[in-house]
Amino acid sequence: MAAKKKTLTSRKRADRLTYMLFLAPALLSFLLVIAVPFFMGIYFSLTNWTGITQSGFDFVGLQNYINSIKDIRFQYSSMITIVFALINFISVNVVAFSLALLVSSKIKGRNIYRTGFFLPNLIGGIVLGYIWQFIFNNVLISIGENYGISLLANTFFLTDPKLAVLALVIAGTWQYAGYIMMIYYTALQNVPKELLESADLDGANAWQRLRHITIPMIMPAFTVALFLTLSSSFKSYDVVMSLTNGGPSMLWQGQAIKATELISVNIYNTASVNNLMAEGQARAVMLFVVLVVVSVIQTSITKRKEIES
Amino acid sequence: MKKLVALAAMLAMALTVSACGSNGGGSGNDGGNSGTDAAKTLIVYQNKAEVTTPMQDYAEKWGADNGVKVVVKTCTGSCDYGAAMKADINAGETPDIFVIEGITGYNLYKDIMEPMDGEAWVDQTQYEFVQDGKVYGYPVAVEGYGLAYNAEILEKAGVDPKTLTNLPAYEEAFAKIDGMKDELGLTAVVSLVSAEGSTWVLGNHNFAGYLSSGLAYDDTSVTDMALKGEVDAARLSTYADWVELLFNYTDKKMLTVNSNDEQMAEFGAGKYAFLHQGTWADQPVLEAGGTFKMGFAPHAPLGAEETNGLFAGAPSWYCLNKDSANLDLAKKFLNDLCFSEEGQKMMTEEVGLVSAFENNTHRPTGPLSSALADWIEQGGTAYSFTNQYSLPDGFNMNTLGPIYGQFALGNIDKATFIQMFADAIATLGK
Repeated sequence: MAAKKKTLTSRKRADRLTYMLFLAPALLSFLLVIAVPFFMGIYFSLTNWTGITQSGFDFVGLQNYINSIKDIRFQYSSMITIVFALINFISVNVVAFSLALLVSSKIKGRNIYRTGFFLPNLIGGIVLGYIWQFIFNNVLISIGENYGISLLANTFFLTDPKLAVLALVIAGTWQYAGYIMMIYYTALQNVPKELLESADLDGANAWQRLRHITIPMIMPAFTVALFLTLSSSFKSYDVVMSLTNGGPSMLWQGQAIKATELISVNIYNTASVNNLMAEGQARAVMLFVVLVVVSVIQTSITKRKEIES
Repeated sequence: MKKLVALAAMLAMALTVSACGSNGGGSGNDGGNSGTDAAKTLIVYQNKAEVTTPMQDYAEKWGADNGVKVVVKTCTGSCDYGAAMKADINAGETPDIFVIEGITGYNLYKDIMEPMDGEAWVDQTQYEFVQDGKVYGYPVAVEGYGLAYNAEILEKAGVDPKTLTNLPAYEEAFAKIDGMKDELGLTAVVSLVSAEGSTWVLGNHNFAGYLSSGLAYDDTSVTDMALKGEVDAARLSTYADWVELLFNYTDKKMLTVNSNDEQMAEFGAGKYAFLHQGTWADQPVLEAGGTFKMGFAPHAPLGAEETNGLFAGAPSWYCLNKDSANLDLAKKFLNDLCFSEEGQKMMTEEVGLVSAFENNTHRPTGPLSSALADWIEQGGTAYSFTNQYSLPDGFNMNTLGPIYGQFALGNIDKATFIQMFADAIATLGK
């Protein structure tokens, strides 16, 4: 009896060692590449570090956080990021879900559509931003001029703060909807046909089938898709840099500021253009905290709606 | 449930951290495999696109003669040199020769900079970077700007560029050319942009008119006042007149949505009589077909008072890393660049820059650089090229930039423009 117990524990020990060995590469790279820099980042945000190791730096406590919160441009950036993220979040998901329904229906050429809608996602955000900049600055205007549509010919999308945000949403949706469509599409493939058929026999119309069978069945896909779009909307950077570069300028609380300087662009400008590396880092930490809170709330809400299977 | 929340938190963390990481990274264009055989590698990290290929070829030959592998790395355009340098320094890969663009760069890197007093090249130039009585920077070239003009269009319009030395003269000339736009095939008189991302030119080059026009080359009085938060109200008022004049004679599309690329290309295509750019615009202007004769006229930010100088000076300097394992080779590299026939030719005829060295008789061929070289040869007046760079980083583009933008969009009038400039400058005194 005692001997048996002993062999069991030693085998357990050996097992544990094996687990550790298998875990080690992933854990080590996670620690080195993510955990360590993350905590270093939090530490640097409490100093007056300028980005150069040799120069040395002092601990300044929460000064960077206080300066950031007092900064009018940062306040505006936070606000416009939330506005943009909400609009973009809704727009991407509505478009993506509609496209997913379209390409999973029996429409002719659905394979081509599926590839086509996904394609913009393969174009880098910088290139995409320049493409849309050309469309807003030149294509729309020359269409307006050639067809006598004076509204188009005289509107510079990127000089009006509201239209510029809209332009970002259009470009962002165009880029991201195809990717999210794939997530919804995959989930739609797994909805049991029997359920839909029997609902059909019971006299449920298309909307009722969608509302009461399809959507509840693909709730896990919503959890993932909503999480991805929400976090990516909050962190939009490349498209903003190339499409509007933070512009146009606008007046806000008596100061001239950049109308589409989303928070990640603001972090970049603070850290690299104004050379306030530590303050930029402090803003990045705040963005992280907000993102975690928002993501946790969103996933717990959608998760509650998932059907346990 | 718990697992999912944990996963979400982890994902968010991973995504934010990587996003922030890449912000600081910058995308350096690595000219070769740096890092290998460190003792025998000399890394030159420079920031001019046009220098890249000629210097790589030159450095390869020079390296072969001196038994060292020279790696020329370039960071230009959308690449952020400051961010990329920070990344390299923190990675322990500080270049042996790097670039500063003025006092800001000096303040960032002063701990790792090697003084170069007594080097042979120092006697051949008046543009070296000096701080606290020590020479720290080798001038890359002389660059300059005023209001570049298309000499053919001015001639057709009957405007003599030599008369363009104050605001009333410009007002008259602009009105005259504007009236002949269709005849001359022009879109507008001045090619100037104010869109976000392109505000460097206004915030630095144009603002230099307020800081330095009409003053002696080393006169920093107006800049010093600005750093204390004080404004010279009379200067600011005439400066605003000048900005207003330029904006009034630029078409809305160019002024509010176009980028620097379009600004230079359209001038090259002959669609504008004036271009608010400097010698560095040679290449894009030529590529757009701009082979006509060009020249520079002085900015007129002082109202009726005459201004007859261009803003000219060294735009950047090569500096040495004092911890370099190849310090002597790096010094030799710079001296050879100044004294050898190949080095002199490379920087001027091949790259197209105006040399900062008196012993270099080679001249660039670009139309705007030639105009500046002529100006220097004729002993023309020069105003400070660097005063605007002593203002805090980002002030010119991030703080002043949007004010120009609002003025250009017509959302604020001249009085508000002046007030907002005064307010912005006042924040510098805090």
